Amino acid sequence: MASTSTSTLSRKLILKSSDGEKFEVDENVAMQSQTIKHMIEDLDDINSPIPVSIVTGTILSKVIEYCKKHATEDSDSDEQLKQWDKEYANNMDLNTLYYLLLAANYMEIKGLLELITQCVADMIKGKSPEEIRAHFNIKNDFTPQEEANIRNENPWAFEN
Amino acid sequence: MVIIPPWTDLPDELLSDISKRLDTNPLDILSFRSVCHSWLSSSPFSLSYSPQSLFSPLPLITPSPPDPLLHRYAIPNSNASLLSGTAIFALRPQFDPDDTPSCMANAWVLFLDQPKIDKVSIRKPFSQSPYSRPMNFPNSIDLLKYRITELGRFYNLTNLPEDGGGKVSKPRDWLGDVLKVVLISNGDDFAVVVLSHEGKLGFIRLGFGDSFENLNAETDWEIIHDGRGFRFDDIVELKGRVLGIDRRGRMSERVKTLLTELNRLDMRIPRNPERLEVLTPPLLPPFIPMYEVKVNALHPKRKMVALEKLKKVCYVNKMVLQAREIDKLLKRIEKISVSWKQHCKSANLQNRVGTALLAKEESCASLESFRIVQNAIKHGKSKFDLLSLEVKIHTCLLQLEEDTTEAKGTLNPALFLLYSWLGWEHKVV
Repeated sequence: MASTSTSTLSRKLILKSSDGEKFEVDENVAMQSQTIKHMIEDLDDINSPIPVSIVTGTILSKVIEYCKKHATEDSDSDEQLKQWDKEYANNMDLNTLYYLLLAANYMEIKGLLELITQCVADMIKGKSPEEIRAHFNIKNDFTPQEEANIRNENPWAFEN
Repeated sequence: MVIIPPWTDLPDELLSDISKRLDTNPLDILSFRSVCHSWLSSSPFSLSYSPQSLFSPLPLITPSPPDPLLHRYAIPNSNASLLSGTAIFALRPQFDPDDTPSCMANAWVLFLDQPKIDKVSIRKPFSQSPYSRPMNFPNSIDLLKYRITELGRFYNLTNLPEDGGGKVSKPRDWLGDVLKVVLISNGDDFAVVVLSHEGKLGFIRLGFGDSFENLNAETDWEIIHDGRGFRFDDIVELKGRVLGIDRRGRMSERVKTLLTELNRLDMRIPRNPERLEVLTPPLLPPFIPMYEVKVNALHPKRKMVALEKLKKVCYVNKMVLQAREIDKLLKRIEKISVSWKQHCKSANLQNRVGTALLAKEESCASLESFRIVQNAIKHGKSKFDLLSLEVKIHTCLLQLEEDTTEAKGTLNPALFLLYSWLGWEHKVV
């Protein structure tokens, strides 16, 4: 019987993380990554593991979790999906976020990239430079003069 | 050992992506750029060159609302108005453990206007005159010492001055008529919805053309609602739609009607429908042991169906609770709203929201309302949040009303079947 709603049996792909961990995923899940999509096009043997060279197994499993959720669009409304995204991002610690950001960028997963950058932006909002540095463990490498110059970008006109 | 990832070493394109997401608030961008060299060089924004990032794509010139909206306040010869944004900021000193609590007096709430595309100015909250500074406000602000947070923003229509000059035109004439301006965008164009003092709604569509600079009015003003029948008290933007809220009384009235109906439904529902052995027939004297036997004596299949039906109707209980909750919430909101209004009316208070001085000077009554406002500000809840809460309740109420109608439709047949099995008398109420 020709099916319209459920596509014909999805092919499986094997993704291999930088530390050698292998993940079997449906093709439509993996195809959310533009990078992998391009890799598959160039690949003769789809059964051999696809190396995702800079992403560790721990992070890759999180990326796959996201892709799986977003591959099955039919079940959830936009609202529910947004809620899921929010909880997904909130459950990540700062280190994981960092590597997820790099992974999303490398794998070219637009939705995930947007989600994580927004999450990081939200952490920055309303914080002073000192607080941002403390939060992300960043060293201040400005000289006092340089810092003063940047702060002179202050947009407020106080003149009468 | 946990290796701390080097956030400074993120690729430029990622840092730039992050900073772009801060561009609704120039101060966040400033902070972002002040973190370290790599973050500075990645951020494409420089505030000195692009102050419009504060309220893109505002301000813009629109035709004035038509006379019927303005009514007697119509200003002759004014056919254009300026739509401009105002952001509300709180300035607080950075926490310094060595400092005494007296530094609290140096906390300010400020309105930040953008009367022209390349100009940003501050004024005291609610003050009519531009460039008005609060008392003891320093000439320059060392952003190292202050924490600045945006509390909210709003839009306003002002008369376009004849000479097109640089000062903010006095919004007083307009404020008398235009109570609130809400902006919605669907990406391609803008719509401005205006609530007048008399509860009328006006609307104008604005198109981008091919750039923000070419933003102009595509149509003339339309009157959505002329204020007859009922008046809108407020409008809010929610998920790309403008929702109007009318007199609060109507909302409480609706809750009251709903509660009466739900209670009526509730009365006809047997107590503890989940536990049939203690079922009490409604509207009949309770003979518990007898009915217990009867329910248990039902054919197992029927008993199952009976249980199912009763479970279905038992959600009316939950709806009653929900309606009561809403009722309570509405009353509380009404209280806060009243305080807000009093607060806004009190001229003495107006210009001093956020200064600790106030507490000493004001009487107890206004103090109470001030505290509520202050609390609201402290928790980042401005008046605008209050309104979105009202919208949420409104949505909840609609759902509940729908559910009630549905329950009324399903309850009668369900109970009829059930009671006939049990041999109870069934009264259609």
